[in-house]
Amino acid sequence: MLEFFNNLNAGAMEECIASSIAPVKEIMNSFEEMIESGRGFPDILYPYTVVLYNSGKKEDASENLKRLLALNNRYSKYLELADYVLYGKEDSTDMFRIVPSIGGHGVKLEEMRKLVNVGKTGRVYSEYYSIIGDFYLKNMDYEKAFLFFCVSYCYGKPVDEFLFGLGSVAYSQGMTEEAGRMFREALEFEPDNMKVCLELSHVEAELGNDESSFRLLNLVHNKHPDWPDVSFRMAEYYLSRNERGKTESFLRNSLKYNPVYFSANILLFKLLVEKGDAQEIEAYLKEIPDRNLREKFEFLYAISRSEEYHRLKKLMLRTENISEEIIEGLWDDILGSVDKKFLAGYMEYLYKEDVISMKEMQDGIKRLSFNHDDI
Amino acid sequence: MTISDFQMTSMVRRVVVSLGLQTSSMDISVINGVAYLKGRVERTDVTVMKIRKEFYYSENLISEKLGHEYKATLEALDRQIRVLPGIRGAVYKFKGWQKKIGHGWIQVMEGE
Repeated sequence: MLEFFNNLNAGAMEECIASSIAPVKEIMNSFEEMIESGRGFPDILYPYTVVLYNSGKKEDASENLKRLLALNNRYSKYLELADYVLYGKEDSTDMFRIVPSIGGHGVKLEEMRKLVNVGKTGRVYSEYYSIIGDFYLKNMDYEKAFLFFCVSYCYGKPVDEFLFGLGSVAYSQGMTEEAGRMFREALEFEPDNMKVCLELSHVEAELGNDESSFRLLNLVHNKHPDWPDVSFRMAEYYLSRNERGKTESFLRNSLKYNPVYFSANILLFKLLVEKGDAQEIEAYLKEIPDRNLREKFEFLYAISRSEEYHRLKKLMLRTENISEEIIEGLWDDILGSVDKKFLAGYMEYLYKEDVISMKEMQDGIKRLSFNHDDI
Repeated sequence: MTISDFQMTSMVRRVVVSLGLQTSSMDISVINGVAYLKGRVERTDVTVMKIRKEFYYSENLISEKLGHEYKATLEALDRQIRVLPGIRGAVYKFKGWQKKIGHGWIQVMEGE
């Protein structure tokens, strides 16, 4: 791969642009399919407009952009596109940046930094080639993705976005450290790029740099407290430090914006059961909008309280896929706090009631990892 | 050194990305070492588009061919997640797919 990077030259870029016509039809088809299936969201309409415009379908691009602006007419990126598509602003067809020099140690930032403050000519071209780069990235054709991100950069793609693209190529291939370096460098150019912050926070966590990961999450959370995924990640971080109060608070924040967030619900339920405040648990159970999840928690809560076998059976039979989750170990911490003899007795009861087979009962008792003679 | 759920969630997410699956349509977490993935399994690559195009005349054929593609991806996903350090189990709640003990991945109808 690095050899390929080193051989990148103007000839390769020209070849690359010439070959870009081939995937454009596929890209248009995929956008059309998404729009037909009711997913005509701005993040689909925007790149679709860019592709239509650059393929010479100016009228279609114009129609599509009007739909986009009807959904959101405040975002500067969309308004900027309107200058070209609706009001005839001329886009530059010349590449005005040199190909960044790529060496064995990655992009030479000193050279790129000199080029940061150039104007915004070639804007639509830059977006267009970036979309093609994304297409190849999704198709796991990393060399082409890289090449198109470079072309996009040469047409004026902001350097942080360019580095984000390169970092994503590395990340998709499992080159986590390389990805981390690219994302960090992207933030040097644009510290407020939230997309980069989020991606880098995952890379830092994977590399074991929890503090850096958390710092980035915090940055995003301060700007977007309504992003449930970010709140959930912050809760996970605090849980890893055993700060349960903060964990609970972030989980509740996450659920405030997405009450059916499964992972957040599971974690909050576990925390509350460990806390053991019956009133709080019951109040929480009532608030869960997802019936299946509520029923699952009611069963697990009842078992954690060693309630009567017949009631447990009734709750269990209406709960979907609970046995699979128990076998995989998802509920070990809750079941681990229940008396093992009580659980073994419950399995025997289920066998006698013809709910499970003898083998299932024996396997279940075996999983409790204690000597059968102790029962 | 123990690996935290916080760290493992990011590892699982990378596996999902490297298989060309969309993370935006998935809820990914690791809770007590058990990976938990819920949502829609979605690929938008050329292979998938080619199948749709080539067999446009039969929804059944498209579904069958895509089924094979997705099954292979899901098998790889499960295999790669289970070998991650610290992971001791995996629970999947995917729309249209179920992993059954002893049967592997099975395509299910909506609402089944």
